[in-house]
Amino acid sequence: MDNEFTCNLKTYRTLAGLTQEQLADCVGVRRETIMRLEKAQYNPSLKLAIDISRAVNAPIEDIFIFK
Amino acid sequence: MSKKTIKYFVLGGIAVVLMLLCSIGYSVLFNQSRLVEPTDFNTYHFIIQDTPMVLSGLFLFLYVIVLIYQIVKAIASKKTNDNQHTRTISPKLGYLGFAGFMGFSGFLTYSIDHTLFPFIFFTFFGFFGFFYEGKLSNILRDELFILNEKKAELSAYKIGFIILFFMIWLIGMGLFRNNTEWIAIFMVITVSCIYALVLFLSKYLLYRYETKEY
Repeated sequence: MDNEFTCNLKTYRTLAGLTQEQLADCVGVRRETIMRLEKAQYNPSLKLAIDISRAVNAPIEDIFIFK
Repeated sequence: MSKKTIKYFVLGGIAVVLMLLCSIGYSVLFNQSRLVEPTDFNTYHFIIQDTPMVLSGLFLFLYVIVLIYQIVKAIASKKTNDNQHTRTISPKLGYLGFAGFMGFSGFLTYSIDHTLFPFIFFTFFGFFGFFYEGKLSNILRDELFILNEKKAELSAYKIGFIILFFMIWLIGMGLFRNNTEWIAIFMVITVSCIYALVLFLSKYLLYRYETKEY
């Protein structure tokens, strides 16, 4: 289940000028969670996905692409 | 519970105890130790001199009730506030797991007076889990952590149930030749050890999932 999607979070996070730590603080998770999300090793909840999408100012379907 | 509330409770407790001591003194000196010595309430009749003892008993009862209520409230509120982070404990608490060896004292007590109770101490082996829990002290319980926590607990329960099933199966197949006493000992030891294993594994597996390198 962990590898059923690809995640472009790193690209959009960099574009938004945020570090992993800053994004983690912004959405209320740990840096480790952001790290695993970027490696597409963790399938986030809808709430977290929306929070991240708002934080990096990018459409949710562009960040998380399900195969 | 705030420091002010705790102060009030300590002062209140001292006042209640003093009131009770005074009432006991009064009863012993002037009221033939009524309500101080064991009283048969079937034949008891209230007299006005009993009032100090009755009142102080009532205050003590109310104090205990309010104290219990405040403690429960404080624990519940602490749980709600601290739910966002894991509890802070020292990994050194893991050494408490060695207390599990006290379970072997059950063999001694059983040989002396057939007491099985000390075998329950084998559950203390589960305290070895504090070692791993301590390493994950005071970190944010975000959704990944909660997911890992549930995954670890589920795996631990699964392993525990499999072992329990095998133990029951072994006994059902006639292990110990249906000697009830030996079966009782075996079951107490097994269930205690399984309980300890589940406690330990749920913490150990969580640590593994949390620190897993990808």
